[in-house]
Amino acid sequence: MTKELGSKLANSVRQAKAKQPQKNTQDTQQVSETPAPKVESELPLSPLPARRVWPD
Amino acid sequence: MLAQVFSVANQKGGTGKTTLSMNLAAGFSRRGRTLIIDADPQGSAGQWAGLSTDERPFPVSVISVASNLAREVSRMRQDYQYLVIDCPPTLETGVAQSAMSISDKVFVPILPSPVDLWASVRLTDAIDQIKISNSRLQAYILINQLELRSAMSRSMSQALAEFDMPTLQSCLRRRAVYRNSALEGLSVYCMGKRGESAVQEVEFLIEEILTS
Ligand SMILES: Nc1ncnc2c1ncn2[C@@H]1O[C@H](COP(=O)(O)OP(=O)(O)O)[C@@H](O)[C@H]1O
Ligand SMILES: [Mg+2]
Repeated sequence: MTKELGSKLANSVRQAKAKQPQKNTQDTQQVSETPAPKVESELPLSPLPARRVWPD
Repeated sequence: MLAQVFSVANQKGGTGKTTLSMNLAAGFSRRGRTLIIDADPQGSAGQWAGLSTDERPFPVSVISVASNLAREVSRMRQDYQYLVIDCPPTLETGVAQSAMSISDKVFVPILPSPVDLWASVRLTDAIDQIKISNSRLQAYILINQLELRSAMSRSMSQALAEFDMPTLQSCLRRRAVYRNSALEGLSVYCMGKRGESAVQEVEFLIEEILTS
């Protein structure tokens, strides 16, 4: 039944919210668990400008 | 006049950020000068527009911005009426946060599935943080790939009521034309009869966005 499914879903969201770690512990955990982010700043600005041909 | 800045964000991949960004921008471009800012290093938005042909170009330019997003956007706000930022599927690099910190509105596409709902909980926290410094930011959930015949889809509203941000009335149905249009480097607006229903829902969405 849709209604039952709806409350089940809603319940699961409430649980996900409750399981949110405290801000501080979350930060320290993530430092150790996630791989280093990609070196985004070194990516080329875009494939389009990269193909630009300089006049000289 | 300064452009209205819209971000499309969700730290989960595959929820429809790029699809929504491209089609929203195509719709906005019929109303005013529009630019898409591809803030995702994967570059899907740029690739999408790159597939269009000279005869049928994508109606909106895509520029890829890898760093200094805030500075680039404030510069471009003067030349456009609408800026749409397609965010990367992560909160770890800070790019999505930068985008939201300079946006008027952020749209969070969510698929009608429990895992997608749970994953979005963390994003609401990030948005609350950003609202402290960007008080004009308004955040909205948008249901994407809705299937009317699925009980899960129909149960979504009850679950979304648990979130602290409102859900838009408009939603995008799951339609093959959203995928097919990408392959041709087009928006649903250029897909003729096949795209009619999709255009209608994107138009509803845009009207809701511009009046909310
Ligand atoms: N409303 C929709 N109907 C059908 N397919 C969709 C829809 N929205 C997105 N898709 C497809 O789902 C996949 C993920 O969408 P995409 O826009 O790339 O998500 P994201 O940018 O969040 O990773 C793509 O294959 C896309 O074509
Ligand atoms: Mg994407």
